[in-house]
Amino acid sequence: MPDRKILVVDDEPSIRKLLKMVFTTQGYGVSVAENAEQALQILENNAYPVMFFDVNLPGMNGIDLCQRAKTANPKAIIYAITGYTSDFELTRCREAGFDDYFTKPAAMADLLKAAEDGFEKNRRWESQ
Amino acid sequence: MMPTDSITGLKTRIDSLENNQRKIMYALDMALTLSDFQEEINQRFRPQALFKEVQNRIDRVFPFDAYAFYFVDQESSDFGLSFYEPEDRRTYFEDEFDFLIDNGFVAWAIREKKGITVAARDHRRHLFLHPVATQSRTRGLFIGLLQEGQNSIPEVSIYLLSIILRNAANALESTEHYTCITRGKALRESKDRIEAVIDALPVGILVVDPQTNQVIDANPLAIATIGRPQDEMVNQRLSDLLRTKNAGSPDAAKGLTEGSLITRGDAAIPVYSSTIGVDIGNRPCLVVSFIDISEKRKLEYERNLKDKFLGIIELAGAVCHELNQPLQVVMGNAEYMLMNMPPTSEYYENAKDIKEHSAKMGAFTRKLMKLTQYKTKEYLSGNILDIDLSSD
Repeated sequence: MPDRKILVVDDEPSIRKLLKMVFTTQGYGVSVAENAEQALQILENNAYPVMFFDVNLPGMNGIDLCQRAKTANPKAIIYAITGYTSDFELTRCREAGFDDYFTKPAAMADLLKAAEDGFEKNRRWESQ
Repeated sequence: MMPTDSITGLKTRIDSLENNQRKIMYALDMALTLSDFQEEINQRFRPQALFKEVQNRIDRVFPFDAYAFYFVDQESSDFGLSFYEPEDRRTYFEDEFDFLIDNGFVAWAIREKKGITVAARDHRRHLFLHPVATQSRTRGLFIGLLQEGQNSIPEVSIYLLSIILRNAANALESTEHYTCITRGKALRESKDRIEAVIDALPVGILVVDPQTNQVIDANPLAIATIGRPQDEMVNQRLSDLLRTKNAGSPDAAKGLTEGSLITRGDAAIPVYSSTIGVDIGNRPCLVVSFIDISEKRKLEYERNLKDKFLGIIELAGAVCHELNQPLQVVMGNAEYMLMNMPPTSEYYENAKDIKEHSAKMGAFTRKLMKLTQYKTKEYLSGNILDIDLSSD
């Protein structure tokens, strides 16, 4: 089970609570952070194969956080969750290394499937 | 046998006749070579240049000690000292001329239309006066100061001087004609140039009778823009063609007035127009000029639309961002409840409704995020943004 860890970063407490609840129910180990700085602290001592980052975070934004996280762990699957998406922002997300993105309100079923796919992909890489 | 005296007398007579013949031949030859001054006229002509040439020719016939030419101003009829030689004789001639005028010598020479020799003020020297005149008009006066000791000029020389001075007068008159012709030609060319410029201007021009407010003339651009032929345009009332607040009023001349030009097909073209009052051929007229500002209007409209659209995009972004956060919470929790609730639960349908309707709201905010153009639809008494059309 420890390898099925998910990191959720969102400044909205209700969303952190919701995602933690949903992923935990499905058997994932979930850590949450309310900003990028807190997330980087968590990542210093823990590896998360799958992560969900809100793009619009206070302080360091989700795009910069993704770049830092990918540098530390290139195999990690990181998804962007954003409240507002423009073409420009999507391009920046791709450049930063996000594997996919979801626009709020995202269906929980879609997020669960993305998490499962992410672990599957990560597992394939690890087995090489 | 003839007496020796008679023979000597005849020989003397023959010599005299031969001498006279030589003089006449010389005079005829000189008269021919002194012909007109056509060459001088064809060049960039100034009376002073002509008088210099006349002085050279007079010098060959009868050398004077000093020369002066007075040129008649054709408007004021005043005599003005136009040329003199040598240069230090200006004051001398000015003083002598006053003396000659006062004593009626100038009037005498002009009246006689020939050369006269008169004593100068000092009664020692003599002056030769000769009008520079054509058959019809006096163009000036030549005054020559005879050499010291001379008090007359040979008749043949006077005759030759008359030829030279008459030719000079003709040259002056020809010059006047030549100037008139070249000035007329220059004026015609200038008129042609101005007409070409006016025709090429990107400005429509209507000439209007201020009394009747009817169009008198129109330039090609006005004809093309309005779409009426010239003959149909003439006598049209300006107010039927151009609708502005102060159309055709000289008061509007201070600046541009916005208005509409009515074409033959009753289309209204937005224009800036201005009006000025001018006299054309002693007839007071109004010149109404206009510039088609359709393209400007179109660009302004597009810019306004763009500004408006940018405002909408910004608003949509803010709305989406603020709305999607709570929507995520509502929809996610409803979905979570459905995951953990049996379909038989009395709250199952409620949770399902919450999920479905929040999903609809999510679909709406996604459309807002995809706004790419500004399209409206009628709503009650006004227009509202058509989200479906605008997010295509």
